[in-house]
Amino acid sequence: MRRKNDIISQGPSKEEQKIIAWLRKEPVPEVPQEEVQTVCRTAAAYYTRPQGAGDAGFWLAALSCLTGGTALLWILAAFLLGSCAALSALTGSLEAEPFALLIALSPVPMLSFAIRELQYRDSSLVQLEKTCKYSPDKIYFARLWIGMAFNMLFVALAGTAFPRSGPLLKLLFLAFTAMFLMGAAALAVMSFLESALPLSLMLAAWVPGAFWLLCQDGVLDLLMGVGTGILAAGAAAGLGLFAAAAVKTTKRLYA
Amino acid sequence: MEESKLVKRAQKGDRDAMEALIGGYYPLVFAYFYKNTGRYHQSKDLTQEVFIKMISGLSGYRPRAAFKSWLFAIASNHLKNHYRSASRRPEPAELSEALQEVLPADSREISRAELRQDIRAALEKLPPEQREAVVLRFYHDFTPREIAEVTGVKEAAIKSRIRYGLDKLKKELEGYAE
Repeated sequence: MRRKNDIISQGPSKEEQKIIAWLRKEPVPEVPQEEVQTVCRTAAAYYTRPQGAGDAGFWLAALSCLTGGTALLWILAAFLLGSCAALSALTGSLEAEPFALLIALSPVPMLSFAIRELQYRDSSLVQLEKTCKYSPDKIYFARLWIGMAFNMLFVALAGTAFPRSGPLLKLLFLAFTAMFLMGAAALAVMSFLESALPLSLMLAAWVPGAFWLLCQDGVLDLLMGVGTGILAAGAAAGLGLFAAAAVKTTKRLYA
Repeated sequence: MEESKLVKRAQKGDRDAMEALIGGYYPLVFAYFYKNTGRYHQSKDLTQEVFIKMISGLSGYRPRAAFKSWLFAIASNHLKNHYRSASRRPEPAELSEALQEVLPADSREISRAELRQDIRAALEKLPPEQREAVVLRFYHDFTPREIAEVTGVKEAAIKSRIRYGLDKLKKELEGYAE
């Protein structure tokens, strides 16, 4: 009996040669030229301007991967944060604690970004991405950090609009810590459950839950009483967790 | 025009170059799907979708791999996705109108038509991954290494698929091959 792969080493037998010849001769129906032309036009219509920037640098390529929908989500999240901040700054009658509001809302952009990323992750496109100039896991990793950087910017801008009734730096560190920890939790969920639903539930539970907790008597005072250095260390630890989760999730999603 | 120049021009957004690329590769990609699925209309749809994917990913293509291999990698992934979705919701049988043959006049013609039908049937009996390897090897003249690149499977596994595929075809077509 011939060895398993001998068709490669010794060449096909006579019968196999016959079969190969028949396979080659097996007719393939022709497609009318007009239909081929239609396919040409349809496919060419899919060529978009950002694709023309094929020679873009790494960060530009990562940025161009962020879709219009993601930008829209960020704008909405920024609007939400900004309007809440402005509202509490302008109306002294608002009962809601502005600090608690900012901390509770701070992870919203990052979580909405994570949800969108997961919802629109098409497996065939991932395969396609693998053939691209930059490694897709690095691009994805960069996108996560771009998302986080924008989130920090939104929170910092919203923070500056709040009434100056407390130390801004402490507020920002608390908001950043919440953002990093929720970001890390979202990534951990993403890497184990490839579904956007748990993330949406997390987002839906976090905002009212955190706001309620922070509005409890003494909770915010307790947090604001902690030294700035300790809060900064907490934020740095949260950042470390987020970075670790980003590395792990990227590796898992693009394995 | 040289293919690499055509690809570069297409990457810059030149529609004529894109159309020339698609027009040039259309018959090959269509034949790949047709040989794998045996369905004319479905193969046309799959071919169109592959070219849309090709255009969508064109700016990312770098000439590290041959353009043909890159394009067939897209086609191979698309075929896998198609099998996956077809297993979830089976599609109705398709009339192979393009291949409907006029009844042959003499007995030689009859036996040729029968042989063609039997080859088609034997190919359809192969597991999809063996069929794909056999089609790429013997119809598209890819080497096992190139097939491995296209499908993302190890070269040794591709050689086995070709071997087993041919063995099964030999068994199915025993009467003819002797």
